[in-house]
Amino acid sequence: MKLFSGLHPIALIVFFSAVIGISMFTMNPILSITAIAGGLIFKFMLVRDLSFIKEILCYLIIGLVVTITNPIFSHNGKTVLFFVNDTPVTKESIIYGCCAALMLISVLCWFSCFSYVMTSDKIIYLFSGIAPVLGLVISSSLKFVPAMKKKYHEIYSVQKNLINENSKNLSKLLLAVKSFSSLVTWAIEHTADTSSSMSSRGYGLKNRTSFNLFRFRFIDCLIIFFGAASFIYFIFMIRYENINFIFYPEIIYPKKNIGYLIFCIIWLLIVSMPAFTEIKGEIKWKLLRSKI
Amino acid sequence: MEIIKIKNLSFTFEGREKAVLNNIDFNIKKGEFAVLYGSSGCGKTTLLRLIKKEMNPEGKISGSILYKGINISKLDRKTSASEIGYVMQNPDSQIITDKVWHEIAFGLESLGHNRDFIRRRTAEISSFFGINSWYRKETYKLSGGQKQLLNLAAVMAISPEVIILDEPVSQLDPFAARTFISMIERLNRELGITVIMAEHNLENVFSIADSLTVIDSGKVIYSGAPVNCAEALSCNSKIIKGLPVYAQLHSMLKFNEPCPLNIREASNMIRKNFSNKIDAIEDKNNKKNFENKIIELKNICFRYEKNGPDILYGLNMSVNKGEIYGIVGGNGSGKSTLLSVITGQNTPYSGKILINGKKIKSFSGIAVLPQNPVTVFTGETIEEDFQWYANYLRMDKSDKRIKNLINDLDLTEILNSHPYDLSGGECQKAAIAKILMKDPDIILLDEPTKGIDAWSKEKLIQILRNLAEGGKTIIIVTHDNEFAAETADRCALLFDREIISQDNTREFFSSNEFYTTCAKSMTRGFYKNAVTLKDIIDLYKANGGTL
Amino acid sequence: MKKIFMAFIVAFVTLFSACSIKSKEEYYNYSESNISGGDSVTIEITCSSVLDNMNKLDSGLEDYIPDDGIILEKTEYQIKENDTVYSVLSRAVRENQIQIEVQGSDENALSTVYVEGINYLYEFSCGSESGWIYKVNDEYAEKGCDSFNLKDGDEIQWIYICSQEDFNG
Repeated sequence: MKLFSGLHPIALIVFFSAVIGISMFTMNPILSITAIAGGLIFKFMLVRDLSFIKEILCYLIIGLVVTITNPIFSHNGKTVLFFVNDTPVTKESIIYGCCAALMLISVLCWFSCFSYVMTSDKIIYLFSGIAPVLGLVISSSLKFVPAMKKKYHEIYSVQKNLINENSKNLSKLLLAVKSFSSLVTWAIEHTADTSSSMSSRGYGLKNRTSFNLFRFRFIDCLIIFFGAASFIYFIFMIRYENINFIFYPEIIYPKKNIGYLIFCIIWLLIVSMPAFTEIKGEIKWKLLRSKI
Repeated sequence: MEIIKIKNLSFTFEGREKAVLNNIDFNIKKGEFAVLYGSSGCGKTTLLRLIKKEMNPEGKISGSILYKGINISKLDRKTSASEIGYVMQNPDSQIITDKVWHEIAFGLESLGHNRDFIRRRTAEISSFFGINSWYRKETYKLSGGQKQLLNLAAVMAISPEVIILDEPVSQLDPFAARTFISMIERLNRELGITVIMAEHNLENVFSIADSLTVIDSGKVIYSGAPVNCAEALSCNSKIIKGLPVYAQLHSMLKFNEPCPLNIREASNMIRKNFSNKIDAIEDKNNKKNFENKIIELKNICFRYEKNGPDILYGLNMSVNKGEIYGIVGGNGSGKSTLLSVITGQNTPYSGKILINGKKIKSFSGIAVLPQNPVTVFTGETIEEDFQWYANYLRMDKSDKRIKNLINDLDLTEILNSHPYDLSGGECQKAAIAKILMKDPDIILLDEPTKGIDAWSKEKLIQILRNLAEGGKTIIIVTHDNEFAAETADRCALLFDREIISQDNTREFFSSNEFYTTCAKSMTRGFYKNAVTLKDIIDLYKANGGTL
Repeated sequence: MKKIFMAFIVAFVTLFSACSIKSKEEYYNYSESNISGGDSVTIEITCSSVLDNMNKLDSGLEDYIPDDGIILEKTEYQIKENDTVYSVLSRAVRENQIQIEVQGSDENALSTVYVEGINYLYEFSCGSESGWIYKVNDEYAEKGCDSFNLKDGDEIQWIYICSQEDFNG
C-alpha cells in the first residue's frame, strides 16, 4: 500500500519543499546524516529492490570529490596538518568539506525520492492549477516523447537494412542522419493528425476545465500544516539562534539549548515520517494478507 | 428522419484541377449503420472530412451538407464538437495525452464539465468498453487494438449523436478488428448512435451494415442494402474485389436467391446449388519443384531480455530458393520477431541460421518491406529518393535497373510526389521498387496487406509472382489468410514459440479447420481442398456448372 | 569501469608526486637568510577596527582577535631589489606562524595577488564592507600588493577595515 505517494500533490510539494529547503541551509552533520538515513530508507521502501545501490555509489563519489576539493581551495582553520606546495591543509577545512558533502548528499537523496513520488499526472495537476492548458502541454509532450523514440527505432532498423552500416566509414553517421530526417517528417504528419483529433473533440472552446484523480483528505491538510510549520520554525531558528556548526577557525558545536533540541526532534520526525508510514503500511498489509 | 443530408456535393482540393467529389447525394437516417465503400483515392475520406467541420480540408466546395437541417458551415463549434465524433485510421496519432483516463476525460474537459460529472462519465465509459483494467496505464504502452478502442471511448465520452469512422480497423490485426467492429455494433444497436464508416474491406461489416454506399472516382455508383450490392456491382471488376468472398461468388454465379451476408448463409447457398461429385482439386501440373534451400533456421531460441520469456524456442524453418513462403499466426505469436532474427537485426542466443548451406555472419542479400512502407523513404520526392539511393549503391548511370523497376511497378505518375502524399498501395509499390534496387536474393514482407485496398492487393500478388518467377525468394509474414492462400507456395503456422505446421498452401489451409480462409470455411465438409474463390469456381465448373 | 578506476589511480599518483608535501614543522622552520646590509622596510598588521565592531564579527572568531588589535608588531625586514609588498608579507607571516590565505594572480580578474585573509580574519568576516587593505608610508596604494616595488625605508601597514569610513579616515 503506497501511502505516502498517494497523498495529494499539493501536500507532497509542500512537504518536500520543506525538507529539501531546510536541508540546503543546514551545515550540521548530525541533521544531514539523519536526513540521508530517512531518505534512503524511504527510497528503499518505494522501490523494494536494491537497484538504488548504484545511486548510493554515485553519492559516495560526489561526497568524496567535495571532501577532497575543499581543503585545496580553502586554507582557513586552526589545525594545520601539513603543507602542500606551501599552502596549508587544515583539519577544519577537511571537516567542512565532509559536512558540505553530507549536506549535498542529503539534498540529492531527497530530490531523488521526490522525483520518484511526483509522477507525471501530479505535475500536470499542479501546472493545471496555474492554467489548464499548461497541464495539457506537459501531458502531450509526455505522450509524444516515447512515441518518437519508438518510431526512431523502427525507422532506424528499416534504414539499416538499406544502408549497410559496416561497409563504409561514415555509414553509421549517414544512417543516423537519414533516420532522423525521416523521423522529423513523420513527426510533422503525426502531429497534424493529433491536432485534428484535438480540435474535433472541442479543444479551443471557452471554459476549459481540468480533470484529475486526486482528492483532498484530512491527512493532506495535516502534512501541509506540519511542513509549513517546520519551515517557519527553521527560519526563526536561523535568524535568532544557531543550529549550524561553526567550522573556522575552530569547530564549535551549536549550543544545546531548548530551541535547538526542539528543532532536532522536529527534524527527526519529518525525515523519518515517510519511511515510517511506508513501513507501517507494509506491516499492516502483511498482517491483512496473512488473514486471507 | 434524416440526420445528415448531402445534396449535390462537389469538392476540389486547393491547387488541383480535377474535382475529387462530383455531385454526390448521400443521406443518412437517424440510428442507421451506414458504410461507405470504395478503393483508395475514390474520395470517401474527403466526403467524411467534409461532414465534420473541424476536419474540413482546404478547397472549393459546392452543394450542401445539412446536419439536422442546419448547414455544417453554420453549425456552432460546441455542437459540432459534441454531437459529431470522428475516429481516424491511425490509432497512434489520434491520442493526445499520456494516460488513458486523461484521454477519455479530454473531450469532457474541453466542453467545460465539472469534475464530478467527468468522474462519473469516465467511469461509465470505461465499464462499457471494458477498459477498467488499463484505466491508469500510460497510452504509449497500449497495443494497436487497445489504442483504437481508447480513441472510440474518448470520442464516445462526449456522447455524440453521430460517429464518423475513417477506415478504423485497417491498421489492426483481424482479432482486434473484430472486437472493434463488434463494439461499434453495440453502440449502434444498444444506444442508437448513427454510424458512418468508410471501409475498403467489407468482410467484417457486411452483415451489420444497414446501408452500403459505393463511391468510385468521386461518384456514387450504388446506394442501398448490402444484400443487393453484389448484383449491382457485378460489372465493375475493380470494385467488386473488396466484397467478401461469398458476395463475389454470388455476383459471378447469379443465383436466384439473395446474396449471402455471412459464411453460414454462403455455406447453405453452396450446398443448395453446387454438386460435390468431384470434391477435390488436383494440382497435377502446378506442383513446383524447388531444389535448393536458401535459408535454414535450426533450433533458434530468442528472447529480448535476460530474464524475460522466450519468444522463439527450438524453431526450425527452411525456405527454398525461388519460392513464396508464407508465415501465418495470431497476434503476438512472434512473427515480427522471427523476421528480425532472419534479417540479423536480433541475434538468437542459441541455434544457427544457414544461408545457402553456410553459416554467414551478415548477409546483405535480404531486403525487408516493413509494416509501414513510408519509413523506407527519406527524401522529399520519390524520384529524389531513388536517385540518392542509386548513388549510394554506386549504380552506374547507364544501369537500366531503376527504369525497369519504375515501369514494371507502374510508378511513373507518382515520381514527383512526397512519400506521405501517396496512398497505401502506391507507397507500397514505390517501397518495393526501392528495396529491389540493391538486387536482393531474399525479400521479406512484414504484413503487406495492412491498410491496402483489394485492387492494390491483386497487383501486389502479381508483382510477387513475377519476382518469384525471376528467381527471387519471398517470405511473407501475414495474418491475412486469403492473401497467403492466393500468393504463397508453402505456408507455416507460428505458434507457441515455434513453427508447428508447414505444408504446401493448399494442404495447409485445407487441413486447418479454424485458422483458415473464408473459401475453405464456406466449403467445409463439402469440398475437400478449396481454399480460394478461384478453387470454388473451378470445382463448380468441373461439376458441370456454367457461369 | 575498471579502466576508469585505473586512470583515476594513475592520475592521483602523478599529482601526488608532483606536489611537494611538507610537514608543519618543516614549513615554519624555513627562514630566509638575512641579507646583510642594504635596504630594509618595516611591516605591521593590525585589526583594531574590529574591536569597535564586535557585534558584526562572525561567531567563533572572538577568541582570535588580539586584545590590542595588533596581529604583528612593527618589524623590520631586509629587502632585495625586486621585493614587493607581498613578498615581504609572506615572509613575515611565515616566520611568525600567522595564518594567511591569498588568491593567486591567475585566479582573479585583475591579475594580481589578492589577500583574502590574515589570522583567520577574512573579508566580510566583520560586516559586509570588511576586508584587508595596505598602506605604504601612510598612503593607500592603488596597485596590487605583488606589483608594488619597495624602496629603502618604506613602512608597510596591513589594516583590517570594517567599513568605508575606516578607509577614508
